[in-house]
Amino acid sequence: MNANNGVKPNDCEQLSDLLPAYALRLTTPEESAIVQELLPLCPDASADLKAYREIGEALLYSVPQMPLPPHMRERLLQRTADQPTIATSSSNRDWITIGIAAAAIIVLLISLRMVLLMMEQSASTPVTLLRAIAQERTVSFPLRPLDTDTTYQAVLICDPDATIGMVYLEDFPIGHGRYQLWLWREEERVNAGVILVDGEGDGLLVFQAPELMRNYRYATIADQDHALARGALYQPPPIYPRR
Amino acid sequence: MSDIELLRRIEQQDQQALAQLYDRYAKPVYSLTYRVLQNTVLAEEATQDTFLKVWRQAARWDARKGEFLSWLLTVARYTAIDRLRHERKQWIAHGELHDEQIAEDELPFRDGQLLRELMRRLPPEQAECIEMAFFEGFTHSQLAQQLNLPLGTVKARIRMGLQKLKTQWQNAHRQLTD
Repeated sequence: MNANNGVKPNDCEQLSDLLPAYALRLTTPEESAIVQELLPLCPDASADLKAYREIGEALLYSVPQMPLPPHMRERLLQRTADQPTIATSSSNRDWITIGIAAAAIIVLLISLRMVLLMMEQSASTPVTLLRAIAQERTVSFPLRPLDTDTTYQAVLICDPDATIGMVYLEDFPIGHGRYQLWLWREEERVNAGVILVDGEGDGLLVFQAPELMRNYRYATIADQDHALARGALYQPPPIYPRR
Repeated sequence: MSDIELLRRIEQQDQQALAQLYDRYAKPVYSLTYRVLQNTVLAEEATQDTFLKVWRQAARWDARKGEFLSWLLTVARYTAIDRLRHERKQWIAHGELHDEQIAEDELPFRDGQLLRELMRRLPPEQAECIEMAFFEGFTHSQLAQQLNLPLGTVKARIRMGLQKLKTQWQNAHRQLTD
């Protein structure tokens, strides 16, 4: 690989070493960030990455073909019959997701409000958010999966002038069972809470941020190792760290 | 009917369209999930889950990014690996897995066949690391732990194995086109 644009020769060698694992999505977040930074600067790297990705794709087709279990087709169709039959486009789905999430938060917030009233406390932040939802002052932000081949998605809803919000996860991998919501200001992040997902990979979290939501640039949802989804909030960052 | 037409109908919750898509692609999807999970029951569940994801989110496939089947197999792989991670804890308690004879079909996937042949030519320790990482979802550090090897050794085996595969892959394709 040749270097240009002020890139050190060692940089392209390092990239060359990382590319095989990167193509198969085996690199750490830090390694992935290095690859993404150096990729445009090393002339042969894109062609190499394409070749490695072809190998990754061919691996999908390389397994011995198996006979199908009897009646699997019928069982699948039965499961689809058990699913809701409303036709949805992707944008409609976002709104449905937001609607379900908003309904859930309203129920939660009403419960919270009742608890607060019982404790004879004054008007609280959850009430503020409830009012904001009612007055349509909340904003929803999609948190998009980092991997475009996946089907999971998330949405974060908050009032920019409040410190409370909610995040709803749909169809996330169930293997981890729990995910972390991070809110980012510049290079600093705050832990906004843990989201537990059910057997369908869906989960809901109402969170309290240390500061007004408009102060956060973006949000990420991560497992133990790295971010799975991220989205800009009020001040989109130039580069996202991958964690 | 093309894949795109079928997916448009699936978006409208047309079960017949899903059945057609299943008839077209269930075999490679099931074979891949079986490769990951090594268990017929779990492979069937992962296959069904994959098609249910299409049922629920057909619009997520973007035709500009490649073949539908490649996307479907990628979704199947993630679904199966996700299931594998979820089940590993159970397996520790319950023990053995099924060991079934795999029936070879006429493979429509020439590149897949070629790659399998090239994998056989790799040093076994390199092929093993690549297969465990790709099909079983192990990270580098998990592999190092599983194989009781230094992290650097695992990384080197994967890197060198894939570099060899790339060279052989490109040579083989060059020969095919010459």
